[in-house]
Amino acid sequence: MKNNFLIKQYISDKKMRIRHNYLSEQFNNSKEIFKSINKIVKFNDFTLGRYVDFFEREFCKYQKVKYAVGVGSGTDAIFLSLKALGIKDGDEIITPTYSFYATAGAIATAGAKPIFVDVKDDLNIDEDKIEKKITKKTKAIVPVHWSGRICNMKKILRLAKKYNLHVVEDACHAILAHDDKKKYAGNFGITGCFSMHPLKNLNVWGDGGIIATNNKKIYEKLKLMRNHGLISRDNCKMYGYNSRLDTIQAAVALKMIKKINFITNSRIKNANYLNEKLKSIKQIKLIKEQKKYKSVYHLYQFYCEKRNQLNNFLRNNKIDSKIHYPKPLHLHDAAKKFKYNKGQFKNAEKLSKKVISIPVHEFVSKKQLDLIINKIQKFYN
Amino acid sequence: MIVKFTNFPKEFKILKKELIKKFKKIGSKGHYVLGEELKNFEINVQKFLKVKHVLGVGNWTEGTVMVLKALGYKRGDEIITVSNSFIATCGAIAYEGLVPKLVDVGDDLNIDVKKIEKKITKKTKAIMPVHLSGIPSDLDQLNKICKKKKLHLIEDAAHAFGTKYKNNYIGTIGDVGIFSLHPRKSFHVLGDGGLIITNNTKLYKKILLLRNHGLKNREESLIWGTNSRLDNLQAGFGNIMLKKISSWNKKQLNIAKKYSKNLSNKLITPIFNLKISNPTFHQYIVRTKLRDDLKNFLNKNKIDTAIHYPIPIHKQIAYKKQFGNIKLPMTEKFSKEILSLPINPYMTDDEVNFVIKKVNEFFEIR
Repeated sequence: MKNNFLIKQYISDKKMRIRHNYLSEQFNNSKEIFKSINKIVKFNDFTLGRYVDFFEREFCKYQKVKYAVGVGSGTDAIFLSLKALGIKDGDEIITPTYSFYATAGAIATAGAKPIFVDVKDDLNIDEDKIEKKITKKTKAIVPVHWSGRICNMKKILRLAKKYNLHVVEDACHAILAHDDKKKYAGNFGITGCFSMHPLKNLNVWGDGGIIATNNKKIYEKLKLMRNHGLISRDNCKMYGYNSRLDTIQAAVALKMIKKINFITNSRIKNANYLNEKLKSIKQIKLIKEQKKYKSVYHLYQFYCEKRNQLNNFLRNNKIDSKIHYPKPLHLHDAAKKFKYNKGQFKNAEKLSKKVISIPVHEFVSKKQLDLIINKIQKFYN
Repeated sequence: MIVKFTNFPKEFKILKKELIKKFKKIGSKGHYVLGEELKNFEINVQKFLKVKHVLGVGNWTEGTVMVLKALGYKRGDEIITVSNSFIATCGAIAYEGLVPKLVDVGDDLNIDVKKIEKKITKKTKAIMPVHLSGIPSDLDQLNKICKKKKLHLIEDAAHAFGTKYKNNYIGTIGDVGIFSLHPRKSFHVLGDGGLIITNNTKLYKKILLLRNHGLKNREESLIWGTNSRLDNLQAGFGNIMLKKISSWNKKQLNIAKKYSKNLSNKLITPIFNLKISNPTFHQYIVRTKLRDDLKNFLNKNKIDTAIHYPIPIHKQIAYKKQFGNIKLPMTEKFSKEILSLPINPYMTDDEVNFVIKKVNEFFEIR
């Protein structure tokens, strides 16, 4: 077993001309960050402190939410939310089978059983298949706004109300995504969980996450939980955890959030351009955007024939296409203990064989998009 | 003169160029997660501590939670540890659904090995000594008990990076050791961080999975894990700090020796044996019945002090609510007597002498 398989990936990604990882470009002009670090040293706060407060306040403004808590990662955001809601061993939590491992990992780490549900053609949880999975043990629904596209929250909230379930949103991909009423991802459930992993739309330069909530009680509990349950340096009210957004990373986040509208709009513009140019290729099926909804394209994905060949072809042409992800959650070894079988979630299994992601971030130029389009056309001709 | 407890601005001033250079190197590559710096940091620590496996993790607490999970304990299993420690020691145990069984401490403020055996039950799975302030617990005796009772020895080495016990480094003597790299620790990075070290390959492989979503590679998850990785950036800073830690530890030991030699014998200085160990003195903890008066006096003379820890874990609301009331007479007595004097690598001789002078002055007039 290789310790750091990501190093290998970093090396292979470097050979790409149109890259998925744009962090070198983003790092240019980082003077501001070094100024902030000087201030952090002066303030003497290397954990929590002023910059974390500044960022949380700024985040609340953008997110249009009352409270925010900076934490160690998107995974921890979900895990801590579930713990704050009192989720315990043996509880069941409904979530889509199509997501990053962390969604189910956070649920399992909290002691609960992830109850998977199939996805629709937009890779979001199929809200019509949720109800029959609800049992006496069900405590919460964790919808995932996959790739930055909002789930059918109206129906999910209606079900949650009917069965008295919590809704914790995995909004890790979906900052500033909204529905037809312009309500933001993360503001529907009791908490909204965001990742600020380096490759997210809003990112820091290491692991980081943030939780949004309008519920004061949960907010206060989360603030205790992320810092050992301490009400002061020497007084511990409840056993907590240690999951804090690093102060230096909060300074990075504070700089990045000022660009989030530009980043989001660039991604949408790039996605629209790709959609327009790719729609005529009959081997490709685009993912439809609903009217008045805003998707923020953390990933730009479509379905295609000969997916693996196309992926290899693009990569050979130094275009950093990727598969997010080749296997739904219920088919991983990790899920064996929950007794899921192949064929159980047909749509997720089918789509995972057809889906591909193309670089869509703000550093991809129009010329580069044209090159990608050109190569895809060439492949199918 | 103002004597500070810690001195980050001074440290940062000295290391700034090197740290920023490292920051720029990592930033221009754009590798922030599980990158080269982390890999090198793990190898460097491995060589430094002479241990088989090293894992950089999010922080001490998460590291310990993963260790307890990887060792396969079940809800209700018991872990023996001490009450005079930072709350995280028990927090991590309680978080995994386990029960902390607290043992009183001896004059050296570490676990009293004589009082351990009667706390061992059928449910006991491990002993987790805390090497408080970098002074090692009685590891020979602990090893003996663990062997006899078939328990794991988990070293809470949060304060003790670089301390040796006889010929081996702290953290390598038990089954597994966990370090904190929190900025206030002697060996630190510039944010949260932790290290797990072990010679047990099976345990290492399991934690390797746990810290990164159970992922064997980008596409396959073997077990449900969590996300607790030491940031590549912080590992880069760690590589710089590792080159300094031996000289820092030495400086602190020298300050401690000077304190111990010159402080009034009306207070009790830390108990340690240089033949067995070279403590790192993450803190220098003295004991006196006049603790609060001394603290106020030093404060008036602009000398920073701290108390590690004023409220023992078993007196915290979090403990009492979950595990009830227990009595630990020595821990309770000491919590009213202990005081940590300033100690850091940036203290000047003048500052050390000033602290000694003022402490002794306090006792002269009494």
